Order: sequence, then C-alpha cells, then structure tokens
Amino acid sequence: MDKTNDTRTIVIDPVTRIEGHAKITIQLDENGNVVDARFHVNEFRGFEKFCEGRLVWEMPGLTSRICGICPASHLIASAKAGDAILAIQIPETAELLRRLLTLGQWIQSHALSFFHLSSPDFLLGFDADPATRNLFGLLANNKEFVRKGIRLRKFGQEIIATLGGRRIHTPWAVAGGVRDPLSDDEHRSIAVWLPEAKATVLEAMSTIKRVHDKFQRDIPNFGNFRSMYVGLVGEEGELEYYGGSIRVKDGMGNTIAHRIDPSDYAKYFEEKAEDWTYLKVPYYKQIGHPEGMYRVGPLARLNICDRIGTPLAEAERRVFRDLAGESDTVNNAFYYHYARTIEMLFAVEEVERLLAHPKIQGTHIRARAMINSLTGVGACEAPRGVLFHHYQVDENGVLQKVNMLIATAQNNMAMNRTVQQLAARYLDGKKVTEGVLNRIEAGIRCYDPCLSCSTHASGHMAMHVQLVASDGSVLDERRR
Amino acid sequence: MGSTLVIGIGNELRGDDAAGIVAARRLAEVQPEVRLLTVHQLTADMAIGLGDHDIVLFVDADIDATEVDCRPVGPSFDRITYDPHHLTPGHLLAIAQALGEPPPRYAFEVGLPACSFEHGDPLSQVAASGVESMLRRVADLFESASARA
Repeated sequence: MDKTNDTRTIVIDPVTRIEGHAKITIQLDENGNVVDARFHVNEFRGFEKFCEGRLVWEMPGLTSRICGICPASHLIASAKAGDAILAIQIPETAELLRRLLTLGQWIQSHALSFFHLSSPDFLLGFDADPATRNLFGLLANNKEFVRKGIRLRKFGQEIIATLGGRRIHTPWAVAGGVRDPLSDDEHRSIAVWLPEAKATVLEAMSTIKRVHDKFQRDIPNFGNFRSMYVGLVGEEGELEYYGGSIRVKDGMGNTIAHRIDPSDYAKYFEEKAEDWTYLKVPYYKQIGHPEGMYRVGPLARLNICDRIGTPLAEAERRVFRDLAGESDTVNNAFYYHYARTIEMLFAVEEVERLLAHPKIQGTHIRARAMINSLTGVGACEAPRGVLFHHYQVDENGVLQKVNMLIATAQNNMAMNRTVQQLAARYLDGKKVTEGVLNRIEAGIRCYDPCLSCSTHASGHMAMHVQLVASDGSVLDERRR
Repeated sequence: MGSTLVIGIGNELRGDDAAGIVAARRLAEVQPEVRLLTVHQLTADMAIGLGDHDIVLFVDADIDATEVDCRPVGPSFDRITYDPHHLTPGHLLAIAQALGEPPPRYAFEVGLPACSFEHGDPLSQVAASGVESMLRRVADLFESASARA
C-alpha cells in the first residue's frame, strides 16, 4: 500500500462480479480529496514464461487454457501467430470457420457480461442489497429476461462447442487452419438459434437504453474522459474482428495512426510494469506514459470504425454515435454496455451471413508447412479488445520467447482513471458506503475485465474495503 | 428406463479431479444410450434442458467421500452467492425451477472418493477404484429406476 505523510488510502479488496481477483485502493490527501486510484491485480500465472520450450503447434491448445471465458480468442490469436511462423495462407473455409468461432466467443462473453454480471446493477439498482443484486436476485425480478440472457450465452457456447467439440478450451484451430469442417447437421444446429438470438439482443438493446434514462445522474461519472481508442478495422474502415489492420483514434475522433500491420504492434505499444500490480500497463509508445492511455474493446471498436457491415448493427451504430456530441467520440465508459449490445447484434447478423457463405462447409480446411519464419504475431478482436500473441521460435518451431498483449491490460490505465473519477464524485472522504463501493465496482465492470487472461487469475471473490489515514491508521473498513 | 444425462465434472489436468469425467465417460461407454456431458464446472445455462431427461447424474470428485456416494438431489438455493465458479447440482436445479423449466424425473449427485489433485497426475488408486464402484452403483440405480417406471 502506497502511503505518504499527507494522504489516506481506501482499499476495496477484492472487487466482485468480474473475472478474477483484484482490489482497489483510493488514495486521499489530508483534505479527503481523491488524489489517485489503483486497480491492483494480485494474481500471477505466467503463461508467457512457461510456454517457452514448447512447440509452436502446441500453442493454440495451450493458450486456450489461459481463460475459461474467452479461450476461443486465445486459440485464434495463437493459431494466427502459428500461421505467420509457417508463412502460410490458410484455406478460405478455415478462415470463415475461425471467424464463426470468434463470433461465438463474442456472443457468449458479451451475454455473460451484460446479462449475468452487469444487468443486476441496471435492473435492481446500484443501491440494492448486494445479497440479491446478482443473477439469482434477478430471477425473482424478471425471470424471462434472465432466461433469455442465459439462452443467448448458450447460443454462443453452442457455436464454440459445435465447431470445437467442447464449450471451453477447445484445441480446434491450429497453425494452418482448423481441425474439422462444418457438417450439415452442425450448420443447421447453429442456424436454428438465429431468430431467438436476434430477438434477445434487440431486447437487451432496448433495456440498456432505458437504463441510460434511469441512471442519467450517475452515468456522467462513469469513466467519462478523453482517451485514445485502439482496435482492428477492415479494409474500408468497417468493424473488424478477425483480420484487418490497427487504427488509433484520439478522444476527439482524430485518427492518430491507421493501417498498422498487427505484426508491427510492438512499434506502437509499450507495456510498463508497476510494482503494485501484476497487470501490466500498456500505453501508446509515441505519446508515452501516462499520456498514452488508450482503451480497447466494444467502446473503442465502435469509436474507431467508420461503419458496421451488417444492417441492423450499422443502424444502431449511428444512434450510438449521437452520444458523442462535439468530440465525435463516445468517451464515457458506461456506454461500453450499449456498445456490447450493438456488437452482439452484429455478431448474430454476421453469423447468419457466414452460414450463408457458399464455402462455409468446404472441406479444404488446413494448409501445412514447416517453419518458414522465426517470429510470428497473431491478432484478433477478443470480446474485451484487441489481442496479440507474439512468438519467437527456433528452426524446429520451439518457442524461445512469448509475449501476449491482452485487452484487459490495455484498459488498465483507463480503469484506474475511472475508479478515480467515481471516487472523487461519490466519496465523502471518511466513510466507505455501500453506494460508493457499488458504483466503483460497476465502473470497473463497464470494461468487463478478465484478469484470468491478463495476468492469469481465477476464483472466488468477496469484497474488502479499507480507508486508511495519512498516518497508516484504518479510519473505516467494510467487508462483503 | 427413460433418457439419461450424465454430467462429468472436473479438471483432467488435476489428478483425482478428473474422476467425475473419467467415470462419466466410462458410463457412456458401457451404457451407450446415455447422453454424456463433461464440464469443468456447472454453469447457469446448463439449467435449461435438464428436464429433457428422465434421469440426470452429476458425477464429481469428492475429497470427503470414502466410498461412492450416490444420493438424490433436489433444488436448493442453500449458500448460493453469485459466483459462477461454484454452482452445485442443487443450485442448478433451483435455477431451472426458478426459470419454470421442467425438472428431470430423477436427479442424483454422485460423489467419488478422491485424495490427490496434483497437476498432471493420473487418477490415484482410491479414485480409480471409485470409478469402478460407481459403474456398479449406477447400474443398480438404473435397474431400480426401470423397475419403478
């Protein structure tokens, strides 16, 4: 814990309803004003290190184990890094199927975030009893809403299970393509979900719009600041999730950089290590730390793209952009939720488009080659933002070095800033109230952080909040 | 006997934690009509569709069990918190009930003895014996359910 002679510190430990372990400290000066906030991640798993010495062909299966929520994204980024090391062009059907898997990942992860993790705040209110402010509390309040959310997530999982043979940790994608094609029965089993999934997403969208009205006094404090935004866009600036190039925009909507080849990511993004967290602090290298703070994920993707390639989602993107006002960029983190629903709509429409593609059931699904390059970068848009896997191998394909730039880490500075903004608005400097804690946690949840991915934690959390005076004494403390 | 779903729960990388999955797979081999599902943990979405089956077996390693423990399980919100990593079979049945889902006719929680959970280890002798014992217990169970049907 960081203390100085003229500060006090509030600790929230751990933070609940996110994926992983974390705590928050809020540092106050002697007048009770918030001077800093830190989102500490206390767990370490070290995939980057222990993957060294393994074969590049093993990496998709290994790295899909990083996370139980977004294993398919790691699988795809890893397989793409493998493609680069083999210097191989994968068959068209393989790319279509990898895209389908990625969309399944988006749907299941976004549905989890929206319906399971965040909707209790939306529908029951930030000040509702934490014992019932959860999915099961919602069951008593709105059974059908919960059912639809559960089924939407199940749809995403069914896509993954249908393609990959299991819902999580599938090793189905490989360097050079994928293992299995899509059969007629499997095609039908996915397609049959589409009308229900689309209806559920549209209901989620109308729900979040009502939430915007309900919480119009709170929303301006939820991570409402200018930052840069980073993600992939397609050739024509459209929303992209599998290929494309990197675009960087600032908080006014100006394009800072574009058409960056993802394999050049390290030229543009630096990862800073801090002694108070295992979650690295990436920043935009040309601007430096901390001014180079940027955000990734649904809010970023909708801010950087020029359009969405499916009709309903594109129509909604235009409505979303109206929130930007003069800055031409939506800078409020609360609108991550709205962006998430738009992306779910896009994903459902895009699944429909892919299933109608004449080559989606092709049987040429894998190309083979030996090691042709000693380095390879794979990138894709994971649910929480752009994900990079960067491998260096020897001539036999044995990993010499591994670097993974994870979405949650890229949002690290913005999450800290969001906590600071919320604390400054709601803390009275002496008491840690439920309302303050709830709003700070909800602020973090906007980003849907996945600490299992980014540092690699897992498990159960309760909440511990501590208010510490400048002399180190505990002024107030609460546990949940 | 009607349709049966067997859900093997566990982590195959953690020694005896794989016992539920190994047992469920063995059961599906000897009883091919059984529908098999293997998972690391129970999740809320699994509540939907449980009632499509007459019998649902939740098979998991149990560090406190000294022998195979096969007991009926019903809906229970007991000690539920919102923790997606710690749903029990009772929680899952309770979620199904709250959603208005039809329940399975019979639901059983099967605990298998387990003592070692080290990374990369195979099943211990204790767990391996439990798997064999479980197959006999479940065969008896099916026989009994058929007689009652």
